[in-house]
Amino acid sequence: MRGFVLNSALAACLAGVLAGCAATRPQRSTRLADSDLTQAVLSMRQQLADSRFLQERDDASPEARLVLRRVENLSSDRIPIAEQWSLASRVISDPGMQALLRSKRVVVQLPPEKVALLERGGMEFPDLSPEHEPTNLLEAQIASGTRAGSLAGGRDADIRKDYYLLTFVLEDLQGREVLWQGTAELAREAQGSLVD
Amino acid sequence: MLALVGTGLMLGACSSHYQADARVLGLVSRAEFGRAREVLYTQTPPTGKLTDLLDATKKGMLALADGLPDAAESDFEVVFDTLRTQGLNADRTTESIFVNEQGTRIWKGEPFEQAMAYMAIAEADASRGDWGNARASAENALFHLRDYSATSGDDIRYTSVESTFALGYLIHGVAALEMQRREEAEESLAKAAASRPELGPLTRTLLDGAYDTILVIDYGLGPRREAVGDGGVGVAYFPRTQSDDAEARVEAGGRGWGYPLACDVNAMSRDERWQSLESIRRFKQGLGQAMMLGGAVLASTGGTRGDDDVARLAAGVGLLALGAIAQANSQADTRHNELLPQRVYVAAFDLDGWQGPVRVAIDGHPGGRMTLHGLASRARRARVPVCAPARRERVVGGCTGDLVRQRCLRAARDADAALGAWRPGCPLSHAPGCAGL
Repeated sequence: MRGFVLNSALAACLAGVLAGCAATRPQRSTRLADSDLTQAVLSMRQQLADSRFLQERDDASPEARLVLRRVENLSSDRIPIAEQWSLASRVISDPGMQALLRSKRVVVQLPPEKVALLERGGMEFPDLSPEHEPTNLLEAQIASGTRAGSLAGGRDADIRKDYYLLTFVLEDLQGREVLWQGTAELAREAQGSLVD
Repeated sequence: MLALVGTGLMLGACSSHYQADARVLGLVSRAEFGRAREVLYTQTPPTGKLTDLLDATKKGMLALADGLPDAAESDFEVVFDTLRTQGLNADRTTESIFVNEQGTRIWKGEPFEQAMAYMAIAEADASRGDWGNARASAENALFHLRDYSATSGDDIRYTSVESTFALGYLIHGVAALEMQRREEAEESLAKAAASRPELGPLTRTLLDGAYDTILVIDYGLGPRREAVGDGGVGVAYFPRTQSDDAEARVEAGGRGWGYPLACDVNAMSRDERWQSLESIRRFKQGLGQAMMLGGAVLASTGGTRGDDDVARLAAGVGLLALGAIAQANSQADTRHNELLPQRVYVAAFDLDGWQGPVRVAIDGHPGGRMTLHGLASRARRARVPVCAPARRERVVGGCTGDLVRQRCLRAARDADAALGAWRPGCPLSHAPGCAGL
């Protein structure tokens, strides 16, 4: 009898261990992952390529001079400035997108902040003449909302979900008109006590 | 069995209390942050692991106090990432009952230490003019707290309540203002004033935009965490720098301003709403006692009537030994961030073109004074020395990053609002005439 109990206990332990190994480990953080941003950038790039702004342009259109701004962080995650620049730049830095922009007579200018950084590093840039002033601005924003709850039904939150919304807006600087807006939504869920 | 008991004694002997580094504390008290950093980095080289949260927090805070927010970035990224990791110790609760807690649990700090760490990150970001990330970090510091006021006797009851962290709301409000999110700023600053009514005039100054410089002033050393009670299973905080209601004085160009406390870390450390481990401590103590009792009952009913009784006796003694291990090793975890300030002030004032020195002093604390230079052109944060000689003004040329709002930011907002004001060679974030800032 004692042997049966012992064997049953061992079997139960083994089953528990195997079940633990097989189960997917829950996410522990709702911070944005690089893969999230890559996915968002790909989506944004496609939306820009399909935009009416680009579709209606051709090689005979007047030159559009586009300047970028880094992504404005309105989320609860901390996004380093380098990543804020990278996120904005990656949308238009793809060779396919570059070729498309060139074919539509859209010139991408270095953002003034980057020029200032490069100048501090010893590089020199001539002052822009009026005909080189930007005509369009591409700016982006990342915002988030948070929801938390209790999986166990207790008083302490042990599950959290963050919804992220990445928005790109292309504006005509003279007319203040929004020419295109693209959005990408992401969500990340994590389990476990936050305060711990 | 003897081996088991021996293991218990050995583990008990291994439990040691956290020792704050007196040398580093002394250097910080004298505002010698560079040397304090040198000592800290020599002792604990960075590894970039989650388990290094306490080290990373201290290094980041020292770099910020030393006026090097960029140098704090790598440490603060580890801190932010670790604090945002949920269930960090979820798999370590049982283990920590049998092995001393300090040796097994990843230090995440009490909620007030976590909030202060988030604020240090927010201030580093703000020092660099990165208001988006400053806002994000401040928002993370405003997590819900546990209100234990419904607890009666041993029946621990609590409800989740909104944070009353005035410092967090202040910095969140400032960041929101800088990002032209006026409604959000009004909401945050109203909560700051509701938490600490004496901050009302400061919040009005901020909302009126009657300032061009923001200075976050740290003073004193944060409280010491010690094991207390029978067997050292409880914890309590004891002040290193005593609390008081002294104002911070700022003088520049013959003008002066006074500012009330925005945060008293001693008070936070004594407030149950800012604690999280007490319930675990009680649970562990209770479990240890229960095991001891159960083991004693089993062993006393065991005897010499056969194999089953011998087995029961062995089980009883084994349980007794486990209880002893739990008791011996449930000594409180006394790790804490000894480099926290005792108090924090937020000052907002208008330098109005003044390029000379800005003097900061804490009322009634002769050693608590500091002179800042180049404030109009550099972002700074001041950690005022505790024990500088009273008759010698401490002049710290390149220390620390206050939050300095450049005078041209307001004009920059106007420029942003009408991008037609764009001028060649002038960054978009700066108004015409502000190029080069």
